[in-house]
Amino acid sequence: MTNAQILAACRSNWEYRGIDDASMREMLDELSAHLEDAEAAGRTGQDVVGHDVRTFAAAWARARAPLPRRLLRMACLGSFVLGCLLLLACLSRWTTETALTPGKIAFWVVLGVATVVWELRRGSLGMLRSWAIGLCAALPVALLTGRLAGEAPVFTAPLWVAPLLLLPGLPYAFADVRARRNAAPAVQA
Amino acid sequence: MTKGRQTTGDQRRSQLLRGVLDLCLLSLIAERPRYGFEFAEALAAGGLELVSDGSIYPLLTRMERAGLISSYRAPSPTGGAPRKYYRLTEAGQAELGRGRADWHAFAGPVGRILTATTPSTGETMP
Repeated sequence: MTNAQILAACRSNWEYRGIDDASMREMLDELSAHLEDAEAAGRTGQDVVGHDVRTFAAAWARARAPLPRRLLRMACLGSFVLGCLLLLACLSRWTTETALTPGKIAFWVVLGVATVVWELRRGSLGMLRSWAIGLCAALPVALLTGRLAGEAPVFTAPLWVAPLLLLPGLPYAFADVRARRNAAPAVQA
Repeated sequence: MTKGRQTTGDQRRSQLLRGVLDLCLLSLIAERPRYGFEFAEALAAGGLELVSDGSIYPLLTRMERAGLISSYRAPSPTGGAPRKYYRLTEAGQAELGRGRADWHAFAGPVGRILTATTPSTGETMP
């Protein structure tokens, strides 16, 4: 793995392991500096992170924040993402409720799992490529599920559920946006 | 057989290192504030080769959370991006003192046992 790939894999691992944005930037800066120094000294990225970059990233994440705090953050942000999807689904059809069919549920579950598994292993590929890989996995599964289970809605999600889902993740989302804004001038300076 | 013995040796070395790595890091920081790569270099110079350099980071993070060390950012002596330096706190100083005493109390008897006993030929004495 190149240093850039190691950093990308660590970033994704820490994101999905519930490390907040400010801490993640700090850890990435530290690791990036170490990788540069190691490279200058003739050592490889593997000498720094070991054979398995995910094990390394997981060990550092566990040391950085206790599991309950990370789980709470992930649960709140997961709920936030679901709220965004529901809001978009209602707004795009200009309705006050969205019917969730087995095919739609399978599509979003597979899309989410494929994206997370890929990014944990190889790091983020960027929005477009990530969506392309996710769609390649999710579309066939969604079509097959639709065929086998039919198009009858499993349940209907009303629009008012969206703000309820968004609410727990809002403080974390705002904190992350603020951390990114604070980090941007520091990088420019 | 030789490979098996080597693996056992590696495992023992790894476990011994795991037990004292925090003390080694505290001791290096007590000398002067250091950043990540400097720890790996100093440990290697002292004869302790880590399985991976990065294994010090979870430990440094745990010690920082425990209040034994604190960190600050400062320009690197070699140029480039600023580095995160670690320095010892008062609690860290006290922990290092206790750790040194524990180590000497442990290593002394172990050393005496390992060096004082003579290998047996395997024959039982009447």
